[in-house]
Parts: sequence; C-alpha cells; structure tokens
Amino acid sequence: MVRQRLTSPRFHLLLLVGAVALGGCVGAYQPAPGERPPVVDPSGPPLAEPIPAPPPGPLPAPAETRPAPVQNNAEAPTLALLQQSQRAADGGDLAGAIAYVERAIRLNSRDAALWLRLAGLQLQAERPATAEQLAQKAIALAGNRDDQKRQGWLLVADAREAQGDAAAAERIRERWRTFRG
Amino acid sequence: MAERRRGRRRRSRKPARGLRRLLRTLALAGLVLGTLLGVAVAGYLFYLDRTITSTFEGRRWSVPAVIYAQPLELYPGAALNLAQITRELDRLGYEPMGSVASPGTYKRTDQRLQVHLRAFRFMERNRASQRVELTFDGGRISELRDRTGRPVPLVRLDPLIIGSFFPSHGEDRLVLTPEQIPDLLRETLKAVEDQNFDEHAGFDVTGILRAAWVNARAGEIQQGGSTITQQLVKSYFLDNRQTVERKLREIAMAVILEARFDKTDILDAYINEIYLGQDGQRAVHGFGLGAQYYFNRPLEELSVDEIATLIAVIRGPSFYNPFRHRERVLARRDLVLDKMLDGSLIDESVHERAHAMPLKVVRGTRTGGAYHPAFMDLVRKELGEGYPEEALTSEGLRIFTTLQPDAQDAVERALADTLTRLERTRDLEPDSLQGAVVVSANQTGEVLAVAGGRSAGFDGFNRALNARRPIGSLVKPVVYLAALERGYNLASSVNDAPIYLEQPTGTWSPRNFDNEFHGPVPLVRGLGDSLNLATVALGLELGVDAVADRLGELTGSPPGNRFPSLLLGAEPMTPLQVATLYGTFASGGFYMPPKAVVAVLNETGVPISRHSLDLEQRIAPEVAQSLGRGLEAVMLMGTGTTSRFARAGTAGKTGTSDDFRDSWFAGYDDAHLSVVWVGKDDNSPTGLTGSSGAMKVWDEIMTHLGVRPLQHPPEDHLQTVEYSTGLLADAGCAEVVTVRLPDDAALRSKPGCGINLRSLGERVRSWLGND
Repeated sequence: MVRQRLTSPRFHLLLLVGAVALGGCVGAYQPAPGERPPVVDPSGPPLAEPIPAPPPGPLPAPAETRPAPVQNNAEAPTLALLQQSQRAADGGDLAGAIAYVERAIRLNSRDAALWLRLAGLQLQAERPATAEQLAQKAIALAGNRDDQKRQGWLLVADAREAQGDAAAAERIRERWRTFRG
Repeated sequence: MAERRRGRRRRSRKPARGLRRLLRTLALAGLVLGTLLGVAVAGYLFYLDRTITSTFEGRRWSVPAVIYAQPLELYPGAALNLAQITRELDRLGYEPMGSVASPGTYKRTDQRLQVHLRAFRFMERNRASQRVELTFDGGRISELRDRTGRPVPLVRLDPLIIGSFFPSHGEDRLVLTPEQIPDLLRETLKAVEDQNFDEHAGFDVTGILRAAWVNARAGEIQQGGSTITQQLVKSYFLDNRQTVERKLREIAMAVILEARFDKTDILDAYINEIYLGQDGQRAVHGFGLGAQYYFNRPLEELSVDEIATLIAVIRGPSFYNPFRHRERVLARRDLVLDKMLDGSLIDESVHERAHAMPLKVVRGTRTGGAYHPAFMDLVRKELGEGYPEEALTSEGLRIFTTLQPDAQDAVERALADTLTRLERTRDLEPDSLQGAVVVSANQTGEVLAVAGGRSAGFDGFNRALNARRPIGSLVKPVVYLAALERGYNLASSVNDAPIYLEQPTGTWSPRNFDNEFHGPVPLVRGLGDSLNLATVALGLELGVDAVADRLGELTGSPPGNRFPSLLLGAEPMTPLQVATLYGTFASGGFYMPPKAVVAVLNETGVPISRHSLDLEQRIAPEVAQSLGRGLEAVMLMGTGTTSRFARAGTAGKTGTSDDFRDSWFAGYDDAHLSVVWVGKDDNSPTGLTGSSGAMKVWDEIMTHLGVRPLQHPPEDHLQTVEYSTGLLADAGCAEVVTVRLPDDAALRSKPGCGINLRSLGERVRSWLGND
C-alpha cells in the first residue's frame, strides 16, 4: 500500500523500478519504464470487447534501479535453469524440462516469462487445460509487459484449440495478430 | 507227549509268535511313525526353508519410503546470510572443519563459506560431491564459485530427510548397498560378534562354549553364543523369548541361510537389519539409519570411533543407549576399538586417536530424520490412494516435498514461544492454549511448513489439517470480494447501523466489537476495521447465498451454513482450508490446492509420479488486486495495525469467533502466506482476539522468515481516499489508503484537501503524463 501522492515523482520512479524488477530475465524485450499500461486489461473471459492498441517503441532507460532489501535476485540462476530445461526438452525429456522451470519459479515466482515457459511445456506435454491456466497466470503477472501478455494469450489460444474450441482460439489470435512484441 | 510237546511248543511258540507279532507291529508302527516323522521333519524343514529364504530375499531390499524436504538453493543474489546456511548445514549433519577435504564438511570464515557438498541423487539428475565457495555481502550471497574459482550460477544443498513411512510395527531403516558398507565395519562386526563367522555353518559350538566359559567366569552374561547368522534370523522374527524350540528353529534357519546364501550377503543383510535403538515409536534398524540417528551423518562419513560406537550398541540398544549411558557405552566402544587393533584392522596411531575421542552422538528432534508429523500427514493425504501402505513401507520410494526446514523451525518455535508468552502475560493456565499454523508460498501454493499443535514433534491431533473451527471475520473478505465483483469499489459506501433479523431461532442482532455504530463507511474501512454491521449489511444486499456460493468456489467445499451468520464466519474450517482460501487472495486470484509433494521416485530413481504446479483462475486479476488493497488496509489502518509488520508491506485479516473461542490470523507478504489459529481444545474461551493472539504468532514467524514487502505490478486506476470516509484525499491532509477505482467512479474529495474536482480518469491520465 503506497501512502503518498500519486502525482509525486517518487511514486512515479517507484513504479518504474517496479516495472524493471518485474521484467524477467528472458526474451530480448526490455521493460519499458513509463510505458502506458493498457487501458483495458484483456485478461478474464474473452473476447468480445476491443483490444488495446499495444504501445509503440523506444523508451528511456530507468534512472535508478534499487532492489528491495530482502528480495532475492534470482535472474542468473533462473537463466541457468531455463537453459537446462531447454536441454531436457530438446532431449525429449518434457517432465525434466518442466521440473527445471518449476524450480526456477520457486526462486522467482513473479516472473511471467517462467510461467509462459511452463505453460508452453505443459501444452507440449498435452495438458492443455493446465497450460491454459498457467498462461493466465503469466498474463496476470505480466503487468505492463504487452509482449508477455501477447505470448500468454497466444498460448491460451493454442490451449483452447487443443481442447477443441477452435473458434475461441481464432478470436484470440485475431485480437493479437496486429501486435508486435 | 506229543500233545504236551506240541502243547509246550505251542505254549513256547505262543509267546514267541506274540513277540514277533508285537515286534512286527512295532516295526511297522515304527516305520510308519518314522516315515511320518521324517515327512514331518522334512516338511517342517521345507517350511523353515521357505520362510527364511523368502524373508531374507524379501527383507533385503524392503525399505520404507524416505521423505525429503526442499533442498536449499544457493546462488549469487539469494537473500541468505551465512548464519542461515550454516544452520541448514548443521541440520544436514555437515561438520565444521579446518579444511573441506571430504564430503559433508564445511569451513566458515568471516564472510566466506567453503562447503564440500555430498553426492546426491536429485529428482532431475545425480549430483557428484563437489566443493563450492560462497562469499557474503549485506545479508545475501554475493559470489558462488567452484573449487577452481569459476563462478557457478546455482547449486543445491542436499535435501534434509524429514522422515520415512515405516510399517506399523515400527521398523525403519535406510538400506546400504554393498559398496556403501566400509570393510572396517564388516571385519569388526565379525571380530566382536562372531569370530568364526567365516568358517561356521550357521551355528558355532566353540562360540557357544566360549561364551559359556566367559559368562561362567564373570558370573553374568557377557557374551552371547549366537552367531551373526542366528542374530539375523532372530531379528527377522522379532522374538526374544528364549525357549528350546525357538533356539532350535533359529539354529535350523541359520543353517539353511548359510547353505543358501553367500557369507557376504548374510553379513550385509545383518548390517542392514540389526536393531540399533528406539526413537519414539520408530525402531531404528541397520547401520544406515543408525548412523543417521546417532550421528546425523551417512555411514560412509563416520570416523573409526563412531563406527565402534554403533557396534557397541548392538549388544543391547537400551542398556548401551549412548544418550543415556555415556560412560557405559564409552567403555564398550573402547573394547570394540581394542578388538579392531587386535585384529590389525586399524593401526596403533588410529587406535590411540579414536580412543581419545569423546562420545559424539548428537541428540535432538531437529537433526536428521527429525519428524514433522503434521507435515507428514499432509504428504500422506496428498499421496492418497495412489500409494497403498505396502508400497510406502517397503518399496524404497523417495518422496520429494516442499517443506522448508528453516520455515518449519521458525513456525514451530514461534508457535510454542508465543503461546507460552501469551499464557504468562494474560494470566492463562500454562499449557492451556493450543495452536496450528500453515505456511505456504504465495504464487505456487506449495506448503512450506505446518504445525499441528504447540509441541511440534509430538504425533498427536493435527489441528492444522483436522481441527474445524469457526473462522469468524476471516470470512469477511469473501463478502467484500462478492461486492467488488458486483460493481462496488473499496470507496463505495455501506451503512454500519443496527440490524435486527427474524430468524427461525429468534431475532438475530449482531453487534460490532466496540458496540458502536459507525454509520456510512467506505468498504475499505468495513473490511479494515472488521465492522460486523457494515459487513452484514453488505452481505445482505448481495444475498447470503451469493456469498456462500463464492466461499464454496474458493475453498472447494460449499459451506454448511447458509444463514446470515455465515457473513460473520459462523462456519467451521480447518487452518489448511483457510490457507487455500487466502492462497487465492495472495496469488492474485488463482486457486491452488495445497501442495506438499513435488515428485515420487522409485528405488532406481525413476519418477513414478510428478505433482506439477496446478492452479486455476477463480478471481479476475483486477478484482483480486482490489481486494488485495483492502487486505493491505487491514494492516495499515484496521485491526492489523498492532502487528510489528503492519507498515512493512503486508496484507492480512484477523478473525475472532464468538466469546473469544478462536483467534485467527491470515497474513501474507510478497513470498509467504501464513494462517494461524489459536484456541483451546475444549473450545472454551481464551479471551484472545485475532490480533492479540494469532497475529502475535504471525509476527514471530515473520520475524524469523524476514518480511519481503509486497510488490505491486504496475496498476492503473489507483487513487488515495480517506480511510474513514472514502473521500478523495491525499496523505498530506488525511489518513489515506490507496485503492483501485474504476474510471468512472465519481468521488467527492475531502473538503479542504486542495484536490481539484477532476474526474478520476483525468487524474490517472495526468499522472501518467499523457494529457
């Protein structure tokens, strides 16, 4: 709970720091400080309402990044675990790949990228219902990372399709088609 | 004459013929009997053979399932200090040494820690033993390097064994493979227990005579005449009664074993089987578990004097109980050391050093094999039908769980200490209070610690899983959730005024805790101050059924009470169920069944089941965020303000049932959700509210765990409003809380606060700099 003026520059800065802290360790997309949050949160049961236009491009770097005092900083180990997960998946060991990502989630459980990865693996493992929920989790954690939201929704679409709801899948894909992450 | 002769002959022949007939009958009978006896003996021997052989084969690898805690992950950036890690190393039985030459040792210097990690077969892969060096800075790990100085991204300590599912007759053991058994142990066992082991055929006459001689001279039983093989047989059938029949059977079986199996196999079976002590209900069998039980280390890490100690115990685990009779055990250990020297198994210098060693047994429920019965119940429950008793007690399964030993210790200590303190400061009878705690990880629902009562190691009534008590105000967030989902927001107004409801049982007129009426209040205050009348008014507007349905969806079981008293928590739930409910709040709206098991591996290390992360969105994210803000307001402005961590970035809710019978608190920071119940087993009043009882336990838990302030994802639609009125205001002129409001919320601002009456939408846009 933040008990200060919303208009204060400090709050603004905090928000930026939060956004940076939330930007996971995976993917080339860098968190965009000051990026405008979507006006309509596209999560929740889709899908009749219009989709927010994803925001454009380059943004200034954050002035300062200050980690919270007792928070873990688990980016490097998370990356290592994702690599191990990838190797396991490449070798056909999906269960192992899932176990590595779950280990990463234990270290860094608010990183949407990890939940996206887990959703993808569960989809590969032919558990689309689980995958769909994991993708929803990723979307909820993505904050203002529209690239992650898009990935999440596309996973939801795939999961819906795998569960026999091709129409819903197509609607979701249509909504996110124009977006570039 | 002829007659006479005939007669005589007849007379003389008569008896002769009778005798012959008798003899013939006897012979026949003898033959029949003999055959029968022979058949019986053969049958009996056959039976003995079958029994002992199948027992030997069956028991050889019959191992109770072993349950592991979560391994501690070490990596640069981890918020772990030197003390926390050494505490875990101590739990695991790592020895502090001057150098870390062998696995299972560590060396601690100022801000540096060297650890020689043991080899361990993890879920994903085997980890060989390896040396790592950690550097610390400002309460966290700053560097992690291997022995060549290369940076390592992360490494795990081996997980703590937290128990095993031993069979109902209480035998527990850790089976050692032949490679894990040191030769010194084998040879010394022979020297001490059975000098002719390599020669005899199962029993040993000279051994019996020698024992008789020694005992006769000493005037007491000093030596047993039983061979190792006989002791093994005796141990299989768990019978100490000494009758001739039993002794004969034991010898027969020993002879059969010797005829059928290798000497080495028999000796190794003995090493895995022999009774070494009693740990409560659990009988400690075999040197593998014996080493864990007495030294909290694997057998292969034991020194000569420690091996000698274990061998000393065999003769009589209760007479030679190292925890109780140190001198006696020390004397016998030295005797064993002498035998080692006599048999040239060790040299003079080793003997001398070992002799000088004190008895190093370690005591304590917190060491290896420490029991957390409350958590183990949860594991059992989760494994459920999939694993019959037989599989759990004999198939050598390895079960990896989510328990965090440090959190578990913190919870056990916090609960016990706080209850004792509450009894003292509030003049309650000592040991009259009871409690239960569940701690889980916010985002995954994994259960990290469970206390089922104030004496944690005690395997009694598990209140965390089984005590169903009225949850009181802990139910209120569900009422406010239902309202938020119906289009209310936290600044919406509800009237805190007298209520009289005609019920089948009479008129129901709930009261506020302070017996006052507060008039129109914003929802955030109704929740924060836990106002009964405002909450009931709100719940009645929504409909009791709507709230009951929502509660059912969030806990997975519909409430029995569908009357207005449900709105004030007249509904019993277990702490674990409450943890599920609040887990959904703490995770931003995702329902997660409580999870204690990560995977089950068979004895060869192949996963036979994995319990992957599983969740389901049951609250829309923006509603969950709104509600989260409300639960933060509880801490900042409401009934949680007296918490040590009220202003540290936490959220929670207090709960008190009628007449102060149950004191509840559910609270979370960014990492941990805890649910605490305090009350009495006989359901009598304690005089404690949620905040004066259960929340004190939570404070203590969080002090140990360290608070991680709640991180908010970037949110829009935020506004500060005055807590008492719900009017727009800012921190400069009122006690405000931040709430999430819809774009079109038309709020009045607090007079004199200098806030322009702009629409919230405009304010949000201007704040984002996008005018």
